[in-house]
Amino acid sequence: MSTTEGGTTEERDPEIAGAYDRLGRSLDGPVDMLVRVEHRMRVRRRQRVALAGGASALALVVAGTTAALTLGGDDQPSTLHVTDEPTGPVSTLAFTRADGSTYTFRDIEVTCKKDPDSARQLVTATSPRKVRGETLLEPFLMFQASLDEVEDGRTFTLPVDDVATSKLPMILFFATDEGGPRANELSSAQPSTGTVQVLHASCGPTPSLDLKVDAKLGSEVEQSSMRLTGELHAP
Amino acid sequence: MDTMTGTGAPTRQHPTDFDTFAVAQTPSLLGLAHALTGNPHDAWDLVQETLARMGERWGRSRFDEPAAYARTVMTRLNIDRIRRLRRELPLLRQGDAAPVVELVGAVDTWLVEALATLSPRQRTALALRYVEDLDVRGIATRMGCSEGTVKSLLSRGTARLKEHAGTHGPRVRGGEHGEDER
Repeated sequence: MSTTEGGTTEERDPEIAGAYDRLGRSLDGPVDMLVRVEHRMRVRRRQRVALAGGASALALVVAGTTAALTLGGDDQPSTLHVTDEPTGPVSTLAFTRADGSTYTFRDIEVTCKKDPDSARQLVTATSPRKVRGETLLEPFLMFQASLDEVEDGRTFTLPVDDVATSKLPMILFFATDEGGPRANELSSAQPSTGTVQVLHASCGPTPSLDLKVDAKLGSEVEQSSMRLTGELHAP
Repeated sequence: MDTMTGTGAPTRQHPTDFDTFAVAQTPSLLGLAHALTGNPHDAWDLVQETLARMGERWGRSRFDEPAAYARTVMTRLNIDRIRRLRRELPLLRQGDAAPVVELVGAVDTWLVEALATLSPRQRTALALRYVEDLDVRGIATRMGCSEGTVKSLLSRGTARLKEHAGTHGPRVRGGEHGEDER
């Protein structure tokens, strides 16, 4: 037992204890407490989706059969032709739809950037964000990890989800274009299972990332979990 | 949300388990948060964030002791709160600037002033000691640090509080009594 100037660290000073007791009973919460908590939950969810897909990916809604696509969040989106040709990285990352068919994220870009808040170097792999307004036109995938957590290789057993911290070492996210009326949005948080293996990652003039996924990701929007499997080798 | 009660908590016509948990735990969580932050508005932010994180996982995660887990979440959020809340809360507070918590009891002004001079980790250790009545080992577990670190935090924090009480206390403010000298 260590000693302080006024006693030991195991003892409770009566004057301080009394003041803390009054402090602890001095506040009354808002009458609409539950409403405010639910609002915070919605804000947090929007932030997670925005983190994964950028501002234009908010409130993703299942797309029709349009062939137009948008990159970015302009009010009047430009229309481009979709291309499925690989542009460097080789990806076999694919999710399985409810009907048993699969969708493969073939066009993946790997980038590195420094997180301005934590100064961590982040390595990120994303598929193109193809949206019109708030409508998701094609499935979207994002993987992001702190480089210092994965540069020597690391296997994550899902879920990777610490409710008590904002500094997750890794997040894997994808959104589908089915499951209406809203697109399904899935992440490596609860209640996901499986593994995400980072075989290699580096940030240099040409960022590189080797990834192997065998997982069933949980839905962020109270829909079904979905399997995501395959590998990514970039460049 | 469907209806409001006169007891300070809104209720649904069919409250969920999480609603029941949140309503029951908010008073004590708010008390701990007030001791952790020394600020009513930051205390509510901390409670709201803690309950939001619990609510997101409610039904999807298994909480053996949800009340204790909520306090662990709150404690660790508070340790990280300076960097995290500064980044997130400006967004979250938009349109939410009006005070949402009410001061209904007396507070010792010297304690509030003293808490503002402590580090978040010192405030946390002292709050767990005096509000949660945890011993050094329990505080270390809750904070995720060594017992030696806790002893150091408690020792320096207690000395600072006593110094402040001797210099500035005792004064009581708030509740129905306004500000006066005891």
